[in-house]
Amino acid sequence: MTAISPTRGTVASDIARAWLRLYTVGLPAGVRERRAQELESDLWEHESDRFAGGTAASMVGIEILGRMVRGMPADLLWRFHLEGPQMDIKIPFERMTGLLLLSLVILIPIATSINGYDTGREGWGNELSRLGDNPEWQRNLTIAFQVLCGVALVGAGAGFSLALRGRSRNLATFAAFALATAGVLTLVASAVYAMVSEMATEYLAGRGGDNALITSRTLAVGMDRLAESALVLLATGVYLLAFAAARHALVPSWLRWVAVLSAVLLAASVIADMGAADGAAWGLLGGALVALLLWLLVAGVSLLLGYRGPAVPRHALAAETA
Amino acid sequence: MLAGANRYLPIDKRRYLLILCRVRRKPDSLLPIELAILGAGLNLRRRGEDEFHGYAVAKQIGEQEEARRLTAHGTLYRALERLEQRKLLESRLEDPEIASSERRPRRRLYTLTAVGVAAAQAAARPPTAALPRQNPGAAAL
Repeated sequence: MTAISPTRGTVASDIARAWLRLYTVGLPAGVRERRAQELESDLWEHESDRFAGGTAASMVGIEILGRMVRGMPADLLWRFHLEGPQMDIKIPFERMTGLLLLSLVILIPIATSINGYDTGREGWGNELSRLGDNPEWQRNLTIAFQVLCGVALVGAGAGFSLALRGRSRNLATFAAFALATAGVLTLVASAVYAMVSEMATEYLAGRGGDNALITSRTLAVGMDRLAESALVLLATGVYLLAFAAARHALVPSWLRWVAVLSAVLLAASVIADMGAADGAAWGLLGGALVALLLWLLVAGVSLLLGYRGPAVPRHALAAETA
Repeated sequence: MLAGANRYLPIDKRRYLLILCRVRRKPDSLLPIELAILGAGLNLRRRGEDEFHGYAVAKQIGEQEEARRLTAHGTLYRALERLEQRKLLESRLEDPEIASSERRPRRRLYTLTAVGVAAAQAAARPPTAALPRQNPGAAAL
């Protein structure tokens, strides 16, 4: 193998390589190799030329990223023209489902995140002041994350419905419905958060008085309920997906017990909450969430890496051969 | 896993490509980026570099046009490929030992063909029917 003199190797070069791998995926090896060779040589020449001229690594990275981004339309057009209009893009079902499950690992914590404010009647004034003290960009960022998460959950629901309809149509439909509804609730929660945030600003400015306190607290309580409902719906959706995955041996069989554990902990948390055992309820809820996220993570990675069902025992193979 | 289950999700992209299919070029026309590559190749050739690689072309175009930005990867290599298909350029991979001795990846080296040189010279020539020049910089455009 050729020993290539290392340039400083910017992160941008790695991103450009990743983009190349993405838009050439599924093409014949010769075509991919030529593209990869051209890019590899170009990146090396570019970096060594600029570094020799004393350009900072960050500037070189920006140049490379700029060249990559500006060339993306040409790359995509080339790919489409190469395949011709008759060819269908084929997305392996397992990979798509795996990616969707992994996306839920990120989306669930955002969608169910508690607003972090004690909605008790006594100290609500202080809580509202605390919210109003947060910089506006921070509050806008929270809203943007929630909106993005809501839309992504609706999209994930549609994705699961599409990916699983050939196997478990009913389960897929119910799971998709649960996820999409959780997405809608997250969107509503983001709108409520925006209102409470606005009221906090008014309250700090000395406007609104008691009315602002009462209304904002009511909205904050509503927001908590929305987050709880979204969590229950998300959990239901994931349990349905876990059931479908176990039924068709799409993920390692032991994972079903992780989903069962999560469901039991969640149910126990609800019971503890009704019994006014707040501390226990929070602990159980945390355990349920961790188990849920663990299921999503392992199932997502298994599907993404192409899990091929349970291994057949040797004696069974021998019997079959005989 | 279900036996015989559909493992793939087909997405028919025909409908999305209708707009692209309607874009047609005249057979002999050259795009501005292709003309710029031929011009850069001609300049490099005049400097004694008969063979050149992609990044050298991008840099040369940048210098010729006093552009601050280098040509994008996708635009550059797709244009080089089109010129090669039209026999205006030829390419070969350089000797692996040279690349190895210089401890860098192998370059794809391009050369202007006779047709390519003629096309580049024709593109660089000012139009014969042009009116007397009022703006000295116009010919370069």
